[in-house]
Amino acid sequence: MGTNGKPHLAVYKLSSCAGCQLQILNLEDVLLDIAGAVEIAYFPMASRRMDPGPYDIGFVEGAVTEPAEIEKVKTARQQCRVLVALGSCAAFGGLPSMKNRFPQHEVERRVYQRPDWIHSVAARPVSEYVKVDAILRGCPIDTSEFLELVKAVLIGIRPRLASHSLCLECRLQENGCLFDRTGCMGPVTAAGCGALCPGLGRACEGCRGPAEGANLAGFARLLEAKGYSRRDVIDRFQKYAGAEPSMAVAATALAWEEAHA
Amino acid sequence: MGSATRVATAVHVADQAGWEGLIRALQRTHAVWGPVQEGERVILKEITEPAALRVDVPPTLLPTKKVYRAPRETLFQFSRKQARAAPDSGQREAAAKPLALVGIHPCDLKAIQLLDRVFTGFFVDDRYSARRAQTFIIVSNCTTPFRSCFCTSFDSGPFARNGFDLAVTRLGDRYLLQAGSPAGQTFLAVLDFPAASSSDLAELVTAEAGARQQITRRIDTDGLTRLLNMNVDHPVWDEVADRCLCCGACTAVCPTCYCFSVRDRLNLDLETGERQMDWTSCLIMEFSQVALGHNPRHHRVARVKQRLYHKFSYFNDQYGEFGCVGCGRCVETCVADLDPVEILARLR
Ligand code: SF4
Ligand code: SF4
Ligand code: SF4
Ligand code: SF4
Repeated sequence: MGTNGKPHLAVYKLSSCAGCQLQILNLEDVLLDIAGAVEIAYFPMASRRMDPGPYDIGFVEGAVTEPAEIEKVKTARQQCRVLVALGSCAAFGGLPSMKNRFPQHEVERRVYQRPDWIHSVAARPVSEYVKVDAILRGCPIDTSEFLELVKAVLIGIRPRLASHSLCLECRLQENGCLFDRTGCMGPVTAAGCGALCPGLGRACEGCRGPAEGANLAGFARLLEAKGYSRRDVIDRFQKYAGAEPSMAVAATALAWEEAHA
Repeated sequence: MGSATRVATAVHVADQAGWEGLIRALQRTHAVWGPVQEGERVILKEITEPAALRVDVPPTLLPTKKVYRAPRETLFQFSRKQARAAPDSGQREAAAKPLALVGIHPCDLKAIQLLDRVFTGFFVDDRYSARRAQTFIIVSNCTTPFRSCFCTSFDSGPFARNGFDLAVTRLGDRYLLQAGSPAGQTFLAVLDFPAASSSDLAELVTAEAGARQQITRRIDTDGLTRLLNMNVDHPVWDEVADRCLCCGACTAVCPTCYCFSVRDRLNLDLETGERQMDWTSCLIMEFSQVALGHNPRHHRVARVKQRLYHKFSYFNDQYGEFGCVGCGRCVETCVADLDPVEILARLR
């Protein structure tokens, strides 16, 4: 708690596009209410003010892809009573984790002229290095889920965040189903985004990571039966949440099976 | 609300203009909801233009249950510090125009009757019964059933027997109308449509027989509950669980699925908020989870079985009827192509 009795909030950034932090700033309408409820003590992207820790609640955005970030995330853990992985990069490795399937030296050579300047490791979720208390899914996060989580922490209860399949949310909005045309990832992806993409006629790409208990093996068989290649299926599984354990196992099993067929 | 038994009444005939006039007349006193085609989707919604209402379209994406319970509803507002009177839902219902459901399929009408057992039986849900009690129903008999239909298995179609105020059967450009309740009879009398000719009546009989013949998909309900109870370990359940994605889509669209969850949404002042109700599904993990995290349906096969056993066994135990009306929505909806007709046939 700060001197004024308000809980202190911190936002850290690792390897990411800053889109999730931007979502917090997009909460213009209620930002003042949030500022009334918490002290924004450390949020470099939003303010020059940087109060030292400890903090009551910390959000970490981004995947861990550098040795320096490993240190940073361990410090964040020490500083924060409640630590939240903010967005799919922090929660699952996110888009940066697409590189993990290639050897590190190959990735570095493809992107940089001087790989010897680069100190990068495989992209991992925050939970690889420290215990996280909650995750906020999405690329980017959903603002109402962010608020739900902040409010739950403030009154000390467990937040209610959706972890079931997106299809349930999508069907309740009476969207036309895109699966047959697009191989939509909705059936195995966690809801909570309000079925944003299918509602706009775009297939779900799985940015919120796998739904709780998702039948990934069954979904892979279904996609293949509908004519998608093994490579296509693995690409879909490794796009946003390839470093999430159940996705990693499913994708690895598919690749192994292919290699040993 | 339609009476339980059909009132034998004469059949009347309206042309397109007469039919639209009927809807317009109903709109004076009721909020008229019916199927509307929007691109590839068929949606149940409130009708403004009578011509938009379609009686010849496949089942609506979401069934009639959505008018009695929206997928998300606010039950009341609260304050943590002091008990505050919630906006009275009864008053709100009374202020709104009563509801008319027009053009709903016979299977959906049967589903409403089943939901009545759930929400106005042993436990009475005030919100549901307030909306339901005032509903005027015009059921639309199906002359050309759709590819997934199997209503004949549960005697819930293709023509309705009871529970409606009016029944309409479209034959070419004619709408054959028949009252099924005193309210329907009164309404029809005011409109003064000509009586059907004997050839119209003969066509009506042929149309029903023809529709029945087109429905070839069937669940054999003979001893079905017992059969299910004797086959809880049948290999078909593991096969279904291997394919089912537990996405819950089939339960979202099912006209007889009624499960919901309740949550409190706090405002940022951390003092006031509202209590909400959302539709949910037994296929999702959270549904059966209890305090401290235990989940008796942790395994997919248990969740898959819950859905089918509820429809075809437990509902029957509780209410003496099956909890499926054969509308085929779940079959059309399932991306994994799972079909209760095929699954249950495997037990025979
Ligand atoms: S569009 Fe995608 S998310 Fe929506 S129901 Fe179909 S598969 Fe599920
Ligand atoms: S729609 Fe199909 S895949 Fe989804 S839960 Fe129902 S049966 Fe399973
Ligand atoms: S189980 Fe399927 S066919 Fe039966 S009523 Fe529900 S959606 Fe219709
Ligand atoms: S338990 Fe499952 S099958 Fe039964 S009504 Fe609820 S959601 Fe539908």
